[in-house]
Amino acid sequence: MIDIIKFLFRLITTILISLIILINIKKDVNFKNKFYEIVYENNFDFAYINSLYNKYFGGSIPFDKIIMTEPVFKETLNYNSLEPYYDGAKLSIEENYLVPIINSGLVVYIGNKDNYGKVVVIEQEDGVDCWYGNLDTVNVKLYDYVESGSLLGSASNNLYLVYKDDGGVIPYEKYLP
Amino acid sequence: MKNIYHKLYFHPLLYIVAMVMILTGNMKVFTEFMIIILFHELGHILAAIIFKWNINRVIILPLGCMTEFREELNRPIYQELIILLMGPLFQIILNIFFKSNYNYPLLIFNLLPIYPLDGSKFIFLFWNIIGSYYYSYIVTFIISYISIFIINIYYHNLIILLFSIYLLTTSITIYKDRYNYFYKFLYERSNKEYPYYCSIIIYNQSIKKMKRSVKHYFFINNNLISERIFLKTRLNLTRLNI
Repeated sequence: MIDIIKFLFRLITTILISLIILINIKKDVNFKNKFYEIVYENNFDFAYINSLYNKYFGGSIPFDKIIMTEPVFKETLNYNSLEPYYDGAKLSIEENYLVPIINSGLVVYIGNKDNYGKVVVIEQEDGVDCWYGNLDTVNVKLYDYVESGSLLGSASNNLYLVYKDDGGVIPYEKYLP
Repeated sequence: MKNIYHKLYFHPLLYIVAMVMILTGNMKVFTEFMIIILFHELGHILAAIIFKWNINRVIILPLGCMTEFREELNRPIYQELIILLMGPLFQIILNIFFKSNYNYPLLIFNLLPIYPLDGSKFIFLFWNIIGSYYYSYIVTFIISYISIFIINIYYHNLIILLFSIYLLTTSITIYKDRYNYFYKFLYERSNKEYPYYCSIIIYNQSIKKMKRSVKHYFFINNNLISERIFLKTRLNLTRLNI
């Protein structure tokens, strides 16, 4: 009996909170914009907190030292030329080029985006999202931590790079010479 | 269903580790840990249900679960051994259809000889077979204390340190209660006849030499006295002395 009352209480409070938010969104435009910004555009800096944790407390996963890492692929990104493309940069590369990861971080998105083709988004340790666009194959898994220099996937002819921070675009010149 | 829910106990350490894992972006690893741990414990629980052992509660911890039994201490050794073996066996079976990097590390961690973990229970059962019941407590807990310190010297990790503090506190409380467990073991033997496999004669009235699943005869004044009669008189006397 007490369990049912507890469950009903929780149900009613959640309904109440969501109704208050919905009514406020209908009433106030500023609130709506702010709500959308906080919920849909800001992202939580998991990679930054992970790097801090690893610095002060050791590994964040108990058995990370025991597990053997995959065969080492240590490369730096090589490209022939660079030109602006929508929000970021378009790098011209060789056919079937194996793309290395520029900065280590957490893989937060794998999928297709408009104008960029197949995209992998990596949340870097400084809190900036890095988009790798126009990939043919992807070798990383969602929500895994990846090291800089390891294999991301393969791309042909063009690779798109975009840097974004909490909704705003960061000019690529900061990261690419 | 309701009954099972009330027997689950989520330890506060689980919430702390869950917070750490989620804030550092390791939610995937944490869910893998929980799936492996719960499946491991399911093996123990199923075997316990088959043998009709009375489960007191199931404590869920970040690096392994623990099933507490409210059961006679003189239950046959083979039943306890099968209940123990079913956990690691289920974890190996899980590896066939749920591939995870953390399956074998968790299995190896679970087989360490630290008290609430499975490895120490194997040592306890092994010592029950070759040695006496009372000394198997002392042997398992000395090995458990030593291995807790060795693990923390070789492996620097905050979560393992917190977990080993939990392991240390539980093993200290059980070790302090070893006389209670031993007297419970003796009382059960004096009240009920258990299926024993063989019998031995004890000469100098030392009850600490008594073994599990073995019938004892005490040699007193050129007479052989069966253990139930001896224990009844002995336990009454010890009560009067206290």
